[in-house]
Amino acid sequence: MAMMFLDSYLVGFFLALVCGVVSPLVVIKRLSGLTGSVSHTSFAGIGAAVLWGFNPLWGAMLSGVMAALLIDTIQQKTRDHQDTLLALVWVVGMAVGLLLLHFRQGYTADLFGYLFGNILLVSQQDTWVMMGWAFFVVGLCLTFFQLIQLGCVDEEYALIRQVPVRWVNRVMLSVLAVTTVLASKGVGILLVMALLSIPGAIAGLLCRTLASMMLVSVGVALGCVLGGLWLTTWFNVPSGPTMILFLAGLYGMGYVAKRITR
Amino acid sequence: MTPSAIYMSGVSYEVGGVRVLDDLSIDWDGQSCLVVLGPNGGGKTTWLRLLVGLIEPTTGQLEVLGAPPLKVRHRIGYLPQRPTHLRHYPISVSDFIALGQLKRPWLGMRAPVSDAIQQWMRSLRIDQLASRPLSVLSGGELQRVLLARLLANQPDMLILDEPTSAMDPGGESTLFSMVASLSLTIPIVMVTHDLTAIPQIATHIACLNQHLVLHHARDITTDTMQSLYDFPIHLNTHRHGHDVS
Repeated sequence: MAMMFLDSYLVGFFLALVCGVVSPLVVIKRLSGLTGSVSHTSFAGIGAAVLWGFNPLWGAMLSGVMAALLIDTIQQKTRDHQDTLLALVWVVGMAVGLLLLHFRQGYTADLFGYLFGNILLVSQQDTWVMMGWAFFVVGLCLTFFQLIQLGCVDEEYALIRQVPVRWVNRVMLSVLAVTTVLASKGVGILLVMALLSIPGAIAGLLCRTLASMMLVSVGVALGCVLGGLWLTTWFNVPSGPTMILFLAGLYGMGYVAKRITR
Repeated sequence: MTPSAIYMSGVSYEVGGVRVLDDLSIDWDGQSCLVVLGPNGGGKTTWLRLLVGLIEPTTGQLEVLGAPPLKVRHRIGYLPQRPTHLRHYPISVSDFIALGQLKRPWLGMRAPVSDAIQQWMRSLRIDQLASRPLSVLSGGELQRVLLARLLANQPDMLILDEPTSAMDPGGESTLFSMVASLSLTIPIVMVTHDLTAIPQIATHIACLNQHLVLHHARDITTDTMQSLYDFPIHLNTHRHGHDVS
């Protein structure tokens, strides 16, 4: 049974690793809304790919990265109505995707897979892609950890110090967008926001530094993704919701424990 | 010849069709401490943001330390009126200050807490806060931490926007003594509403209310202050013999 789902477990492992590393940044920089926008906008890329016959993964990544950079540009230009603009990008991306899929007759049957994901259906190619991405993200983080910290903690100060913080943030948002798209494969477009924010939120209850937050967040994500996967394979329940409920339950327990011990 | 610390010629700044600063011209040698006074909304913070290149003038020519602000701003220590960092960021005070010293090629996992950092933390009386999370500091403690972060970089110029607004009298006094001593070696520009700062640190005063007039501190009179704030402000003559508050 375990060998049968080896690719699923491997994808789950690397997915949890990446999400665990990225999640504290999402929580600290309050990017949950942006993650939601990116995941839903990636649907436009999937629609375009299906209609014009190229790999949906590339389409999703391209539209996801474009959405993240567009939102960042808008937020740099104006501080007003940011939530409205975020919601606008979110729904427009989804609407474009649905419209494009509508023009491709008969493809709506796969809609459910994109929206809710299914980690049990991943291929060996998905495993390689996820592993490569995990190594890239972890390597990037280890190499430029201080730069990432400075970009997060005080952008204006970093700008004055001539640190290329705008580029750091653009790279960070692009990494977040690609991670969002890849994670959608496991838990679906609708639930990916949780996988990218709850592990970091749990770590935030326990830790006082970004490095320790990342370590705890990776541990939490690994436990929940692999635990959810195990339940899925043994009890035949949907993978995405199982993992998310695991995470939400753990966050609830952590929150209550912190309130009691304070 | 040493370049002017601040050179401005015909500088104006507009935002949303409103002229915030109008035709400012100044040539300040920087051999002292320049205190900037003016009413709320007079453009003081905007002027400082121009000096560090966070915004660009609509018209006119501006040089700081002999070059356009964008080229030299990394040599300037700028303390904004309101902290710009993420207050909830998980980091200790000493790591936060050390992170502020990050230099090319910006690599590594953790910045070392250098001797300079420790020395400034002692001088500003925040050494006992070293391991405390940044998010739990009071306003006055935070101001001193932000100042230590600037000073540990050994800046060639300091620009301080109401640095004592959240400080208690002890912190204020420490800061003024430090500014007075630092102004002997580097130019300092400081915005304040605290007129007691003038006799302690100011050698020059810039009166800014959309327009800018540069005075020597000894030339400031009750009339100057009244026309600037549109409010009667009484100035006492202090022991060195020139008019100050």
